[in-house]
Amino acid sequence: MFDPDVFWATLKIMLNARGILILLAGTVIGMIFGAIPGLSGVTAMVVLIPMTFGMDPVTAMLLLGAAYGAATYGGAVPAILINTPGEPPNAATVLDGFPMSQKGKSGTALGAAATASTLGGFIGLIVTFCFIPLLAKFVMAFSYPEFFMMTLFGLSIIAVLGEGTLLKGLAAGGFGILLSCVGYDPMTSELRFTYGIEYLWDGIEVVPALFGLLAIGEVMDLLVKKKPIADLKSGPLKGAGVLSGVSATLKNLFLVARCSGIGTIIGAIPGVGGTVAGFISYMHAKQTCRNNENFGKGDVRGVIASEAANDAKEGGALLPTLAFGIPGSAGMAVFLGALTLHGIDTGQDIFIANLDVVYMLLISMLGCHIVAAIIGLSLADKMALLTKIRPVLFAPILFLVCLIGSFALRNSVGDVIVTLLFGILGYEMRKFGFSRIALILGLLLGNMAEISFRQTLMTEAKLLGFFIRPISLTLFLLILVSVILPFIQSYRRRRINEE
Amino acid sequence: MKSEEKIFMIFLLIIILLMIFLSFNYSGGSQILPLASGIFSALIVGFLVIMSFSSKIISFYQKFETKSVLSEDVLNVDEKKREISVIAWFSGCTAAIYLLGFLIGIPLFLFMFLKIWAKESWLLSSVLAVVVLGVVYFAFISILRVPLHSGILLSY
Repeated sequence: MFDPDVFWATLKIMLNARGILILLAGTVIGMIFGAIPGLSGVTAMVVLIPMTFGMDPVTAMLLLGAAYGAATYGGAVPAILINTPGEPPNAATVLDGFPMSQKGKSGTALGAAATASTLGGFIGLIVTFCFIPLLAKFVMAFSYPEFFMMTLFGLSIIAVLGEGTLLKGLAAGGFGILLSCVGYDPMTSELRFTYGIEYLWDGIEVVPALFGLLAIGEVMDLLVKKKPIADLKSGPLKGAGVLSGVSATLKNLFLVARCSGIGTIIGAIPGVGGTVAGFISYMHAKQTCRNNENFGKGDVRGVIASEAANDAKEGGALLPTLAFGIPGSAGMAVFLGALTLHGIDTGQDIFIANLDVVYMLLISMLGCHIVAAIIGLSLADKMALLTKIRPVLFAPILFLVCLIGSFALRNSVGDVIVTLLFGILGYEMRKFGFSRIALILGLLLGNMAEISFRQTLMTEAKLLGFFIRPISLTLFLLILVSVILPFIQSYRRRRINEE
Repeated sequence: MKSEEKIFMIFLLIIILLMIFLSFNYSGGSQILPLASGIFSALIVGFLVIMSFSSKIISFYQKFETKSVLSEDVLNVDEKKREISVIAWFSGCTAAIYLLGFLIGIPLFLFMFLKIWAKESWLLSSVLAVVVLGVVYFAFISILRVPLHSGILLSY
């Protein structure tokens, strides 16, 4: 399938002056859209698509690929600095990224995120294009039982989150799943828990809830306690440890490779989503790394794991989009739309008739990771200063940004009110040690779990259907291991301490 | 903090129990997940509520957890006052945006919050309010062309 002549010709297009300028513009726009809560790589592409009408398809893919690829790293910046993931897939980054900022190590976290994103993006794209036939077979083997097990896998991370106690984490996760039932039943269209409010028919939108729980909850805490995000005793931010973040990532290359592999595979499965990839990689890192007591309290490996998986998933997501015309995510659906607008058909033919477009997507996403890393690393220490600003100046602005971001998603005032309500809930949960991430996971995955569970029951007729398919059974065993393992580790640690 | 935490958990339990009660009205398949997740959460929150009333159960259960089961964070009187006022200000801001729209609600809230709540200078409060309004207008209206909510009072 690899055609060196077409590849070099495409690379030349990207490396001429116009190509570099478009790559730079796409990357910067993508980073800005990713970093503003409420906007995303998808929004960036939607805004940019009209600008590509006058371009040829290859150049159009250069601009769109760069914008979309860079947005994921952009989303890590607010996740680390202000506990607000720019995009839902960055949610796992807040687990260790924000505690690092609170300790005055935001530069290290930003440096690690930039490096892990670049490496993850590289690995994801290269693995995808090297193993297209193998991955395609794996993706095609996925059906309802496997989807259900994947969502269960995502939910099982609640057991290892480490934010608050296990009991409160499970309570928050269960409540999140209950809230995910609000609105139309996805199978029968029966209305549930809507109390006559039309806004609730579509259910509770995850992004406003996410902004409320994480960002506004944190903003309220900053104002109540009147202290900046970073601990002022942690010393000056000069240099801000950006290079130590880079070196920490390079020291954990095997972890980056493993998490990128997880991200690529999950990204290739349509409908599972990048958020699951981030959380499963985080769980994998926490369970397999030595000296894991600091996970959840500001361990750089937590940032590395989630960011590597986040960016690697984009490579994986390209596979079903290009090979089968099945978009794996909202971003890929927009890509598919852009390809159609430019008269390009997806499916097997794209690898024959429009190989240059495929290569351009690949190299623009690779190129944007390099540009994003250079920009991210050079600005990291400046961005880290945000954590030292007096909260009275910074917190109300962040609150307003969250409200506008929530509104901009669907132009709905209801989303603004939901953001405020979840903000108050998030603040109270934070105060009383309930895991907010567990609630988000429940809210995010509950719906997906319900659909795949009931579809399995309809197609396989009984519960046994979950355990007779090899991938589904393997995933089930992995879930059991990942839930039981922390308890065994904790028991062993206690015994060692006692001895 | 313990009494506040108890109230929070009892409130959460009541909401969950209400949702479980409502779930019985839904047809077969539609009630599976609400009932399963509701009963699961109700059992855990119920256990937490019981635990918050009994120090014996807390000390027994604490052996299985590394972190304290009940929150140990205590707010002082000033912080409690600020907590209530911040919630009131944020709710007021959301109401102002709903009634007057983003373009009036944002500068109004920002200026008043900085001047009255944070006791910042007139100059800083006004400059920040105008700058933020300018950025919002430029980014969301000029570039992204998002039709920002204009307020239910002003849309007639």
